[in-house]
Amino acid sequence: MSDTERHFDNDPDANVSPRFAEDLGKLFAPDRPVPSHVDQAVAEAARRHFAPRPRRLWWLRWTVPATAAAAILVAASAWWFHTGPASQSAPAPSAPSVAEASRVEGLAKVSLIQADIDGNGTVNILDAFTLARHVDAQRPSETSWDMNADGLVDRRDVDTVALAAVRLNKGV
Amino acid sequence: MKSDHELIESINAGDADAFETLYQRHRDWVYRLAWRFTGDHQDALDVLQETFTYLLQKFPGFELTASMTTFLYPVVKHVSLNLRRRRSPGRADDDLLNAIPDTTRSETSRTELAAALSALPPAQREVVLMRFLDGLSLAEISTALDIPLNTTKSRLYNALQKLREDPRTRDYFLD
Repeated sequence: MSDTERHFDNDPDANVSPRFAEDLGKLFAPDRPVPSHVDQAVAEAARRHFAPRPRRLWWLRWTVPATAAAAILVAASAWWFHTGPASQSAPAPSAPSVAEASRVEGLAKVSLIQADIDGNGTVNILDAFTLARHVDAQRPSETSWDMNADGLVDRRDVDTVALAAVRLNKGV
Repeated sequence: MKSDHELIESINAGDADAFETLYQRHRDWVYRLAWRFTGDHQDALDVLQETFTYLLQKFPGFELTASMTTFLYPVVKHVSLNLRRRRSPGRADDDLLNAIPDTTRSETSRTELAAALSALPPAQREVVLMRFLDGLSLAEISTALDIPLNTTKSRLYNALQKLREDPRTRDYFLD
């Protein structure tokens, strides 16, 4: 019969002599007692476990990782502002209008009205791009786009517009 | 004298002396159990320390829902088994934990008792030892082994029947 089939109304060990437990105790008695150094080790472990923690040590535990995290954050922020998209997409100084540019000394000999290829009232690098597309596509050009007056509208005129745009933006 | 539950309450409040008192109260019981499982003095001491280290880590916040021995029994068994597995990899758990002490130099009665116990199936032998050697009640044995009460009673009944019918242990029974 398996161990789980029987049902009991009373405890099954009612008629066992106390000698049984005594002899079992002798049979399984350890050959040596627990040495005192084990007691001391357990007591010491308990004292360490329940010892109040110094507040400054608690504070110190978090200082190093917090400082390291802050340093990393500062370095990452510096790197980001120096090289991130914000620095590249920062709005360029607004292109000076043709009217403003005409008041700046030392401008290129090219007429600023000429250099305003797209006719939006400002001279910037987009004018050079616009002219470059015309030249590359070999589309008919305005004669006013002949910046160097050599009778041709070509890459040299594109360079002239680009140079004018750069000089204007730098206030040169 | 404070009860185990009262000592637990004090320990949860940070009383290291209360923990030491609890340790002293149950030290020999744990050590005997560990010695029974391991069969070796040094291993039993290791199990003893590891058991109370495990208990210590549960404070504060430990809640004793049964008796202390009911709580400690599976801990000691588990720690002993892990230690024995490390020493003897590949052996069955029952072989590791249920070895009967060497009685070659013991009294005849003790030798015969050891032989009769060896003949019991491991599950039945464990219940007999928990009941008569470790002093656990049937309910505590059920909780410690995580088995139904009726299973505990069945195992004990079947074990005692075998011992009763065994001429080496028949004299232990009053009927």
